[in-house]
Formats: sequence, C-alpha cells, structure tokens
Amino acid sequence: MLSRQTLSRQVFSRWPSRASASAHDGPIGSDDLPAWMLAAPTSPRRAWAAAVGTAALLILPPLGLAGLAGWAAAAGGGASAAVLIGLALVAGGAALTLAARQAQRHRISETRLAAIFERSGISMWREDWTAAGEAVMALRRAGTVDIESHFASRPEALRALRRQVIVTDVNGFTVEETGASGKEAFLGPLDRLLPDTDQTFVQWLVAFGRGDRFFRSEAHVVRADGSEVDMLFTAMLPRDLAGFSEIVVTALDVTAFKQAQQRFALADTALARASRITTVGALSASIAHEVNSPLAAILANAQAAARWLRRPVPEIGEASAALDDVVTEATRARDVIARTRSYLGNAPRASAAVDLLQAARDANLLVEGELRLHRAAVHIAAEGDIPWIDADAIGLQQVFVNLLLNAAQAMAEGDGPRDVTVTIRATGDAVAVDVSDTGPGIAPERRARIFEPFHSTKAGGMGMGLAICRNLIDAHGGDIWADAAPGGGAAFHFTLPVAGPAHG
Amino acid sequence: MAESAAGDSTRNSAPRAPVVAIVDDDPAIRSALSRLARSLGYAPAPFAGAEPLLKAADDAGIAVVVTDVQMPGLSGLDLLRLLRLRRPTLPVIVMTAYPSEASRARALASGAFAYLAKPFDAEQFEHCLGSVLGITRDP
Repeated sequence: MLSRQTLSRQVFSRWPSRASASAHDGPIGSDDLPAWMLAAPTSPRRAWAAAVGTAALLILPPLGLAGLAGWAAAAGGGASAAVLIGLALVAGGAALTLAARQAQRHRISETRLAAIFERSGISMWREDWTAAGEAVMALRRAGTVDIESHFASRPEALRALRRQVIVTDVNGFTVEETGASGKEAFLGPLDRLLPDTDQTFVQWLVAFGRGDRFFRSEAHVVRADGSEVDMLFTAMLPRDLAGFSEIVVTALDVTAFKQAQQRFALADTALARASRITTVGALSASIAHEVNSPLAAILANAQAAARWLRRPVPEIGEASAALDDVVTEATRARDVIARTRSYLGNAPRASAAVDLLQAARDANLLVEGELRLHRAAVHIAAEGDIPWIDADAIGLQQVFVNLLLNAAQAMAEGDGPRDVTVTIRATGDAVAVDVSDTGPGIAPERRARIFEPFHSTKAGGMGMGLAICRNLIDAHGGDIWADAAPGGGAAFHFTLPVAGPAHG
Repeated sequence: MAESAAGDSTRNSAPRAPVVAIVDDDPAIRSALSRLARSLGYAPAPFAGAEPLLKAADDAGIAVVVTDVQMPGLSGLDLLRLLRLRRPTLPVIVMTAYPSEASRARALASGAFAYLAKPFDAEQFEHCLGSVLGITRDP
C-alpha cells in the first residue's frame, strides 16, 4: 500500500518534480515575480535594429571605401582613387562572401536543428503557450499568488485558456509512434487532445507562476483515433514572455507502464478489499453468535413464562424465574454490543502530522481510474497555508476517497461539465474542507439522513461510504455536513481541529 | 450426569413425559430450553456437552436429543455422528447461533432430524419435538 503510493509519487509524478520547485522553498510573496516576467521584452523593433546593425557592419566598410575613392577622385588623385576603388571592391566582395557564408551557416544550422527535431527517437511537440503565459503574468502582476486555487474556483476560465494553447508542430517520431496519418492530426488547440478530466494543465500554469525552470507531468491524452494514452511530458520553461510562443515539449508514452502499475494497484486493492470483507465477515459472525445466544435464551424464557401464566392454574414461580432470566440475558446481549463497540473504538489509530492537501491528492491518485471512468474532472486547491493536523492519514485519505467517488457517481447521469472541486483552508484552530460537485445535488430533507449506515441510493451500494466518513471525522473531533454548492450540485463540508481530537 | 430436573417436571406433566436431552455449553440456553420444554409438557434433561450425554445416553430413557453445534470438546456434529452409530434410532435435532447453508447441509447429511437457527421461537421448537416424537398436539 505504502510502497505503491511512494512509487507512484516518485516515478510517475503528476505534479511538478521537486527538483524544479526547490528553488522556491517557502511561500512565494506577491512581490517576487518569476524572472521571466521581469525579462526585457524582445520587441520586433529591437530585432529589426539588430538585423540592421549586422547589415551595416558588412556594408559600411566597402561603402566608406567607395566614398573615400569618390572623394580622392574629386580631389584629382586618380591613382589613389583607383586604389581606393579597388579596395572598396575587395571589401564589397569580402562582405558579400561573408554574408553568403553566414547565410549558408544559418541554413545548415537550421537544417541540423530541423533534423534533430524530426529524427529524434522521442516524441517532440512545438507548442504556443503565449495566451497562457500572458494570463499567468497578468494574474501574478495583479497579486494572485496561488494559481491553482484561482483556477480551481474558475473551471470555465481554465477550459478557455486550454483552448488557446496551440500545437504548432510535432516531429516525425510522434507521427510514427502513434501511427497517425500525418502531423495535421496533432496540430491545433491542445484542448482537443486533453480529455476534460485532465488535471495536469493547471500544473503548467502553477509552474509558470512559480517561475520553474522545467516542467514534468504525466497526462492522459486522447489520440486522434479516439484511443487514450498516458504520456509523460517534459519541457524547459521559457526565460521571457516571447519564449512562450514556442515551448518544445518532449513526450514519452508510458501507457504500458501505467497499465502494469494499475494492474498491480488493482490486485492490491482487491486483496485489501477481500481481506477487509473476510475480517468484517468473521467479525459479524462472531457478533451474531454472541448476540444470538442470549436472544435464544430470552425468546425461550419469555415464551415459557407466557405458557406458565396462561395455564388454567398459572405457575407464578416458574414464570417469575423465566422472567428473571430474560432480564439477565438481555443485559448480557447489551454487554456484548457495548464490548464490541469499545473494542472497535479502541483499536489503535495511527496518529501523525498529516498534510491534508497531500491526503486529498493521494486519494485522488488512488481512485483516478474510477474518476476518469465517470468523466469527472477534479480540482484540488488550498487557500493559503494549511497547518498540518494530528490525525490518522489513512483514515482521512479514506474520507477523501469516499467523497470524491460519491461526487463522481452523483454526476454520472448529467450532461453538463462534471467538476469536483476540493478546497482546503485554515480557519483559526481548525482546517475546513469543501468538496462540491456539479451533479443534481441533495434534497434538503435528505441531507441529515445520508450519513446513516445502509442509506444508499445506488444499486448495489452498501450505503456505508458517508457513514464511514462521519465516523472517521467524529473520531478526529471534527464535524461533517452537506448542503448545496453555489452551482446547485452537492457540497460536503468537514472541519478538523488542528490539535487533533481532545482526549478525555 | 445430567443436571436433570425431570423429577420436578412430573409435577406439571404426565408421569410418562418423553425425556428431551438438551446439550449446550451455554448454561443460560440450557436452562431456558429446559424451562420451555417443561412448559410444553416434556421432561428436559440438560447436559453441558457431548461427552456427558454420551455417558448417560444408554440409561436415561432419552427420547430425543437437541444439541448445539459449537461446543468445546466434541461438537454437536461429532455427537450426531457418534449417536448415529451407537443409537441409530435416537432422533437428533441440531441447533446453532451461527447458521449457514453449509452447516445445515452437513447436519442433515449426517442424519439430523432438524436444523434450528438460534434464536428460534417456542412454536418451532414445539413443532419440531412434536413431529420427531410422532405426537400431534392441538393446533
């Protein structure tokens, strides 16, 4: 379990690698903008001026010499004028040769670059991210530091931006590897290639906003033929705004790795589930046995008592002894239940400092496949700094898993966008979490009852998911409740005290 | 060996009341079923396990055995098989607080007359004893 999570975090990280982010340990302030936003823009006028400068260097010497020759001729120095004309011609010839060579060298390097791009044995993409770069720059300049949170609450703005990222070219290997008919299959808005469930796009923006030097992330991509593949994208990020017009992204098809990983995860989950079912089965059998025995005694005693009393001559003594035993056995049954509850309640709970944002992301990774199946797009964001809380990490991960799956399943019927938004924020001595969806919502009269065990609206559902959530949150000294999301979907909220559950 | 209350029961039922052996390691069940059997007109003979019953089986005039399945030592199913060998005509009713299809099938295949899941009510118990002993009582 642990090893799988570690593996998935380190090898196939969905999030920018630590290496790229390490330059920014600690919170970033709104003042320290990333270097690329401060780099002087290379305007077309400056580029023109530079080109003119080079040309002038080549043209000026022969022109100067020709001018001198003209002046010498005018001054009557025929011989010196002829020498100067000769020199001017030589200089002109040299300038021409130089310019020709430079042009040729330029052509060769262009050809070589194109060859490297075209013939590399790795998929390479040229992408125009100008609109995204400009948007992030505007946000940072306006004082928005937390790009992820900003877009978590504006999924439509994020989609709009995604449509403005244009794939301008892909290399030959990309076409070969995918078996596409040609480059045209890839060119155009990136939006076309990313499914709506994609969670990596916003991470690019986060990396831009933070000034990362490079970006690495794994994304699920839809091919032109409709098939879906997992790709590992890597890119050096631009040093100035102009650079956003051509970001070269390399892509590695990790579908097979992912599938192997997923099979392993599935087997692991199935095993965990099987062992959990076995445990629950054994436990409920033992509870059934423990409770059925006193119940059997109660029933037999009560019916015997009734029979003694209904005789023509009631046997008060027998009936009274039977009823005494009824009381004794009812007490025994009550004690069995109390003992079981205290045993389960006192099961040692692993308590450690937990980063709720990480717990949410881990949960998201765990059920990624199922979320994708339901076409749910998950947006996770923290507002400001979130204090770590003293809690059971696996338990809280379970809370997120249940709420995410619940939201995804609730939206499965609808036609509109399927967004699940997880927002985490500190509220004094507690951390508050909201999980809202764009599904049909929960009728007010049902909101209190959905947390009861065996309350299920899903065919085949056990109705335990939310009951488990409430149990876990209760155990941590927190609260959980449901209401309506601003857009009409369901919103679940829970709070957890930072200090952990109060003991005693 | 039986903590028999049969002597007392003659006071309430016919002198020749059939003896019903009740085998259960749980004293509360033993006493409750004994009381119920007595109220139904039988002479109960409670036993705390399979071994004490086997010792007394030949001379206690037992008409039917009602046994629990899970008991320390010999289980109710062990007892059932041993009785089938030693007293093939002695009917055995098996009861359990942990009923399952598998254990029901096993009990019936081993020759149990009936399989009762705890808790069961007086009518089931009465019907079961009545049909095993060929006694038809008023409905």
